[in-house]
Amino acid sequence: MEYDYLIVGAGLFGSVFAYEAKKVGKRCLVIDKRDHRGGNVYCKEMEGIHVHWYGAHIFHTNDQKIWDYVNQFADFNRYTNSPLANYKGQLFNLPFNMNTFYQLWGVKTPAEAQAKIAEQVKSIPFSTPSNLEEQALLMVGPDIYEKLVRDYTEKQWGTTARALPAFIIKRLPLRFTFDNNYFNDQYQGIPIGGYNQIIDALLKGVELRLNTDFFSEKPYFESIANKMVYTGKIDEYFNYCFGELAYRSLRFITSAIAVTFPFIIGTP
Amino acid sequence: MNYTDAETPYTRIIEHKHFEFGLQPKTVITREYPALGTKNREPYYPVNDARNTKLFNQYRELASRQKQVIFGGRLAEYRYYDMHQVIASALKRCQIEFN
Repeated sequence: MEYDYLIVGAGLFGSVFAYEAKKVGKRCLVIDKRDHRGGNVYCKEMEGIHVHWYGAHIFHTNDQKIWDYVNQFADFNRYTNSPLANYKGQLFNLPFNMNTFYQLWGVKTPAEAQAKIAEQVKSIPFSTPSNLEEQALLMVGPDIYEKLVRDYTEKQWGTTARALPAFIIKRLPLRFTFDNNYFNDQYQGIPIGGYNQIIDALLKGVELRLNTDFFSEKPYFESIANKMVYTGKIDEYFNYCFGELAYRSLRFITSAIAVTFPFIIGTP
Repeated sequence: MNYTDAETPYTRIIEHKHFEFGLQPKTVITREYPALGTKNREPYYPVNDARNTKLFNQYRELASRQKQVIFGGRLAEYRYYDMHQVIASALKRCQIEFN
């Protein structure tokens, strides 16, 4: 056998596996059907900016070992995810916290906010949720639900909140401090210079073949390695024999814009 | 910036330079539009409802019999992993494999 491991997919799982395998002297071949490495953490350089090509990737963890592990391969900045919501032109801080409650109701203390939310939830005439809408109403009441949950969720799922099962929203955390930090984790940041350097460091000295579809040459790939690491869709591996697994997808439309003032949105 | 009203067709705009506090003369923004996962679209988020969980368990049972194949990552484990969770999953798998 030419290789100890064939690794299908050059994303984070495959790249970490390749790095660790190489450390213990295993011979690996990594293949990926895309024309780049990194899977969905891949960054494309445009206008000197590292564009998160498959959507925003903000690294965060509570696990010091994992934080130390990634910091071997890149320096991280102190980026803090603090998203904003835009509802019909009105801006609200996320996640739901004292800033949001002030913007919604003018309440200035945790006690006032808690009283307001209790009053909102009390107006709900049922107690057992039978769909997502009812679940959310019982958790946060009508104002937050209508401005910050309902339409966004309906857009994401392409159907009405009443038609969606309650389990999708397990919790809607409410934070009674003025803190817009989306994550609760101790460690958070973005690799300075983008994610590609991490993948490159993981794959250093490992053979990589891009534009290579495992399924188009399956018998060949199965014959060249003792074992395989497969990171693609599990249903596709088994030729969809039990049927297709469902996924939600996204479409990204990216534009480079010449601006005189350097910010368009002013926030990620 | 998340767009939480029904009138705006996209769910989010991100302006990438802010991830690294950039001051470049130009800017790049991405609008995110939700889409249903079909075979020719990129699969991003698994839908872990009862039907799909049952279906996945059938595939996982088949996978467990493939002793020469390690199934790992968001798509092969059909789990919504953040980056730190994928790395933890891969390292755990390596420990089993190489020790």
